[in-house]
Amino acid sequence: MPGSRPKTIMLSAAGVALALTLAACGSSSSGGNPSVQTTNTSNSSLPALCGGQHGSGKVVVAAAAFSENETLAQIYALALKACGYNASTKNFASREVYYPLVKKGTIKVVPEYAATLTDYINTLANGANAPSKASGDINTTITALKAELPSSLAVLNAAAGTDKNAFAVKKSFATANHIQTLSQLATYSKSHPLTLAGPPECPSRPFCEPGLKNTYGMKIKGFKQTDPGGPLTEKALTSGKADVGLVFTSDPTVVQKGLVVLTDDKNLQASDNIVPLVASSLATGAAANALNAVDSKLDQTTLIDLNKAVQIDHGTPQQVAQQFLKDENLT
Amino acid sequence: MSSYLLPAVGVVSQRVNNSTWHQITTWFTTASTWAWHGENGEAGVAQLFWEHVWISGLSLLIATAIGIPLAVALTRWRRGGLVVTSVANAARSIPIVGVMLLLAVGPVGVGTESAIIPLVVFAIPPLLTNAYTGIRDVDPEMTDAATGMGMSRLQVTRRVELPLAIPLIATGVRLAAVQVWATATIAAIIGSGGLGQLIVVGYATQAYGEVYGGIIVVAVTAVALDMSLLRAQRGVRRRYGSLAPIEGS
Repeated sequence: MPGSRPKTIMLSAAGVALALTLAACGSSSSGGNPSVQTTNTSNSSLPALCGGQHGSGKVVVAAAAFSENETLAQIYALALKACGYNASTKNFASREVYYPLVKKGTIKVVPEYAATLTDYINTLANGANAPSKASGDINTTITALKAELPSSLAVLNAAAGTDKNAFAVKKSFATANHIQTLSQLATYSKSHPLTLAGPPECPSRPFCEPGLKNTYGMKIKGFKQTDPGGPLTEKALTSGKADVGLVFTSDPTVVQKGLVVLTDDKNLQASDNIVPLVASSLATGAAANALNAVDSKLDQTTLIDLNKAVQIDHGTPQQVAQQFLKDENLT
Repeated sequence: MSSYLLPAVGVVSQRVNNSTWHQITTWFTTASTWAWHGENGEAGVAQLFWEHVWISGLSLLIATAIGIPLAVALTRWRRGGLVVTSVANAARSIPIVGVMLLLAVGPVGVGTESAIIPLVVFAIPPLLTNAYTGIRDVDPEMTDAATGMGMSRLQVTRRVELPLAIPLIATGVRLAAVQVWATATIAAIIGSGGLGQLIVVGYATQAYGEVYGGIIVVAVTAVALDMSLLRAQRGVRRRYGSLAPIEGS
């Protein structure tokens, strides 16, 4: 599924470079050791997010090697710790590496992306060319995902925040022409055909140029080949060489560069909302309560802020996770 | 036959198996591959070839316009040799991909200019070193005689030194041209088109036939360019005589 590939590329481009810098300099400040949280686990003073239930036992939370996922894994682990679990995080290169361990039960929690996970499990079961079961609508996607999950696994509530393909324009352009959605941009393009910036695969991928043309009826007069939601795309937009470009919904640099993401009002993009993939034993009780409470706070703005705190302001995922739980009154 | 070409480009980690071989032959035998536009309006080899000619040609032209006068100026200076070596080594050691990407996201912007600037820098060393050596190696008796005949400094340069240095200058131009042609492939990374587009788009869409096709087209055209410039160079040498072996660098 194309949806998963650009994400990895984008986050490695935008995030990994920063993450590497962090590895070198991040530990200087307050330490960010999660052991502070364990003081809360003395049974009487459980925080509200546990829903009055007490958890116990070892829980390994997996993170894929890009900063957003690492931060989310830290948040999940800290929330679980607060409810009494002996939670820790472990980083993996990719889903291909950690998913077998999740199935085996070695890993009990992963911050996942609904549509990409749905397609991943689907292709594992039905082959690489199996038609996608993910949808632009998150509820449809979750239903499909639940249907194909093995009984040993479950997913909890999906967050509102997504990390998926999106299209951005200059903020000044959007304001001047009253454009907030892709449909409005398509209407505008009828009289002013647009130049699109995107990765090399964009002209041939349904979620990109063909999708804009067929789903939205957008008039595109030219394609400027750049990168998947990276600095070249942002530069092409800010310098006016392109009018609309492919970005990612949770990328904090988009806003920073004076760009604005347009609403995908016809659900062209598959619904890659954040969703916790857990072992069935954690699908009820304190763990489920805690992770659902966390997810209810993870809207789009919050997710972007979390990424900004790590990728731009150079916090460690651990520090940022602790701050988030404190700010949201979760612990 | 294609496998020995592969190490030339590091992007392909896949072994040539039967299905890849099929993709390659399909790519080569599809008519729209070679057209100006492909079936879905994407750029075909004909268009990419012209973009490649444009990017490399302009880079070579600018590099020549800088390199040759610089070489002439430096032969007038006692420490010129040191400068030539330093400039050439510095220019050769700059990682072009990095410069290209930084220019594209920075001051120059996404477009052909960001590709041409580093290519010019890259083309200068062979032009500069060959022109410098060619002029400096002109027999002093020739320039003395010309001066004795009443030629000005500029006339000596134009009518004696440069013509005598032409065989070596031609060598520099050939080497620079082939280098630029092969290196202009990376311009596609920043969306400047050219034959590298086949490799970049093929890789992004997992159309490995197109990737191999792009590699082969670039390699074959580079060899063809080298051979035709070598012929032209022999013609030049017949006309202007030779001071140096034709393979000099």
